[in-house]
Amino acid sequence: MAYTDDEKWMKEAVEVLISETAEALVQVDFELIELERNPKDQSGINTIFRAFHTTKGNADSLGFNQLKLLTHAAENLLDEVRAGKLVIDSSIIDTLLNVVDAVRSSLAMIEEKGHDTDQDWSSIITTLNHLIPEKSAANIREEKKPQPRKKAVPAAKSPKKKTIKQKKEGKKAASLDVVAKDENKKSEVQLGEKTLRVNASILDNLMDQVGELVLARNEILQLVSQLNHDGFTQASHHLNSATAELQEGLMRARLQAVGKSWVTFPRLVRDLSAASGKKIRIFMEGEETELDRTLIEAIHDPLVHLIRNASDHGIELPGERKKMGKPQEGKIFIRAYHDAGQVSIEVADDGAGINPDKVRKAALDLDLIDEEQLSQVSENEIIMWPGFSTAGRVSEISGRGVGLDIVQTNIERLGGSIDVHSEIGKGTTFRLKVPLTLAILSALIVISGQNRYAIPRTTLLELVRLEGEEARSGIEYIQGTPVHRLRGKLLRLIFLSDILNTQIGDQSHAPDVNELESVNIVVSQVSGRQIGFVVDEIIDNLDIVVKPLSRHIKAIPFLAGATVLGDGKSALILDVNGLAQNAVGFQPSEEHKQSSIVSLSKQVQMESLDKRNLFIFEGPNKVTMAVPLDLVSRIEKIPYSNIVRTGVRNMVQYRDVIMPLLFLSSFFSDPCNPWRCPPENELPISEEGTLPVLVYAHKGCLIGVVINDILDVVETDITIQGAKDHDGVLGTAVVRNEIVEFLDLKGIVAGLDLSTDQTALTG
Amino acid sequence: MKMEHSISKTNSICTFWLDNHLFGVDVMKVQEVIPVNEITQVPFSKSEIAGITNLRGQIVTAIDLRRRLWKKHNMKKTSPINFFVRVKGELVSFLVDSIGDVIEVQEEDFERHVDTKNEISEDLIHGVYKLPRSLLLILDVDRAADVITTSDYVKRRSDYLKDNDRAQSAKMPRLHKKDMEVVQM
Repeated sequence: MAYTDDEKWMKEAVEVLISETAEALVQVDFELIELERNPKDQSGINTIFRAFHTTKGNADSLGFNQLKLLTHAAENLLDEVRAGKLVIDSSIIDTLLNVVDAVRSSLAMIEEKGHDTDQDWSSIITTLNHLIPEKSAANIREEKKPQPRKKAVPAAKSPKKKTIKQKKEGKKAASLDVVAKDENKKSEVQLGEKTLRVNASILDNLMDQVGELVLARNEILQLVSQLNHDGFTQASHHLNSATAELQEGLMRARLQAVGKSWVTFPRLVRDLSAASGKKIRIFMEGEETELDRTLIEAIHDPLVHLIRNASDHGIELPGERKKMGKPQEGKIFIRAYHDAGQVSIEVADDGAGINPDKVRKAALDLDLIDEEQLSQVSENEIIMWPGFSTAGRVSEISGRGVGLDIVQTNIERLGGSIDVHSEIGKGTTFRLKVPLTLAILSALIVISGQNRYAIPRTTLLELVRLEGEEARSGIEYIQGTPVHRLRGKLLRLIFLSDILNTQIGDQSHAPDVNELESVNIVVSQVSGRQIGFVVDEIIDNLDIVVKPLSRHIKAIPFLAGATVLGDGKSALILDVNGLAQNAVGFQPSEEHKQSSIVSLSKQVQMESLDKRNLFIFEGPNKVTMAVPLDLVSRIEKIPYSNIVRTGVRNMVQYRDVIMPLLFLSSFFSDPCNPWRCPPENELPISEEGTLPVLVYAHKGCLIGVVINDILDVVETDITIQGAKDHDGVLGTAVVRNEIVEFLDLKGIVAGLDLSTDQTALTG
Repeated sequence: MKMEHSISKTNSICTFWLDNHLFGVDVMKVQEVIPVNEITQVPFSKSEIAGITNLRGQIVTAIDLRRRLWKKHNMKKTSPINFFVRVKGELVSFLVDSIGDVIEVQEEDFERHVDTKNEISEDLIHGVYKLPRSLLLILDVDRAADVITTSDYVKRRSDYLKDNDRAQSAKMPRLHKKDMEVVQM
């Protein structure tokens, strides 16, 4: 029994050695690169030293001699550095990085075979010893000679301590050990006070339980709303808020700084630049941005891929960069930040950018597309296609043609998205967007046919509702493909019922466009494109718990999972990407890729056909703004004296009706309170005493939107650029060499409560 | 579950009815029986899959056992009872008509071969117990639960659907789909 106990103990000790050392090595990698970049800042050197020191001690006690010798030699070198006798240069860093790799392979062997006797690190050790300045090196050689190397007596640490025996006997408390131990102790105490190590599986389990609680809460809330019982209602509200806080808190507990997996990147970039002869430096920002730990792991590989890509295809060789007038050293930036309940991670480089001609040529050469279709697809889409590669040859780094499409697939599988911005000569930016957590997600609950479906909000851009005449004329067909003109751009529509309901024998909702009273469109971002899903009804916005699908239905690409809704019934979570791919054609197989390109090019054509009239005006804070002219019913100058205050709103008599006035300046200072009339001196009242008003018809009633000044009407084809950065603005565009902001008139008005106005109008 | 037919003399079998046939499953495998649990249909799944259902927070796939067992399924009606069985560590619901008793059966009444007059897929039946009044067919739950919707299957169906759609929309705009159906009726 004793024997097996020993064995067990040994096995455990080895496991601890392996996992602890591996963890420490990651940090060593990171600190070494930092040290190389900034040799004067030696704050990291203790970390490196400690890592080798601890590894040495552990290896010694477990009898891994080769590992011990190796780490000991590294320790010696570092000691010289610490003592200021040695100046850090790249050869030292190189050697130490080699040591790190050697330790890793040592660990791998120990894990596999249980010993490391087969490994011989003498060449690295010699290099290490050579790096130590003459005097101390002489010492080492002197002491080392009498013993054969395999006997595992490591070289002395420094001139101060003569032999290893002394240290072992502990007669002189070796200053090094004291320092190292003290530091260890210190950090442990700090950890004890502030943080707690919890087994990840406990947190996972708790998360599952909270998921159940959320479902039960949803159910209770729904029941309560039917019951109308005061006490019960109050209690359930309490339950509601407590659950929400618990969920939030636990989610936060599972969050980790995204930088945790980034510590390996500096090393990666260093290796890549060494391999390619380029000079590259990595900058990281927002490492502290927190993300669910499963997601951190899941996005690590895609990020590595993007970094490799940037080093290989992005950054140019130093000579080329010099010619371009750029600094020889190329830069890769990684930046993480929170963005509306999601996390965005950017990988940017200041390299050559994506050359559209090169991309197109490569696509042609690879037979991914034919000449005719080529002009109609954007290069940003092409680079994401399976099989695409511009690398002339397969390099060690990248260029195998299994590339960005895998990154895209992986990110989309997580419910995220990826997009690219590139400028020739200036660089390329890839932006990944991922949800904070995978377990609970915010979703839109929609009805299609007789079933309810959940659509994750991560890909959601906006909701559009067309009513009455708009609903009947708002959907047009181009060669059988339904589209909707959304602010001048054609939006490809997919009838959810077409895809889903016919599949389950539910014919009740085959959409008859001529009879539709209203159309609900869920506009989503799918692989860089906008697609509108037409649903029968949008009923709720819920936090749902994602449950896996069983093996029977797991492979269906339109489904991302299932959940339980408030009434206890199950519902499917839709995979928007899967749906869109189906509508445009299945991606993976060759013949379908062709058809998808055809329909794509069709779409691009349709978009460029569109020229629009824009109404240009001056908005609050002297910002030039624009709206499509066809949204504007009339532009009027209304006498200020005609404004009548009724309740919270200000009304004017306009033709035969009473029209409420919405003040843009009030909306932009407080979107919840657009009806508030600013003080008279802040109003753009003209000399004639009138206010410029844009009349907008919404659901049969008129709304007067007070603007600052009327500027112009222009006909132009424009593309809205830039993301929606604040409420009420869709983005910016350049019109006649001027930057204008696009007012989201529909969005603003959709957010209003107009019930009382309708009565005011009819009454 | 080798024991059930070899060593023990009696077995406890949970029984249910489907189309006037008495079926049974070893009682140890049955998790629970719930009459009428809401089923949510799953588009693009195989026709034998009735949908998913919520068993106290757990999403369970329900299999339309009638469609699964009968070679010709011209019957449209879906059975109302969820019969939750644990198969290979996973819960599966079989939809059945009604629930019978749990009965003790004698080993010597068991017969491996069943003549189902070629109506029922025999490979899904373990064997039969000859009871005094009727025959008890023992369901091979492992096999019966083995209905996997592969991505290939989904692709074929969606291709078929698209071809159909294209054929229709080529002839006339889809707005008239409904009218066409009316005419046909």
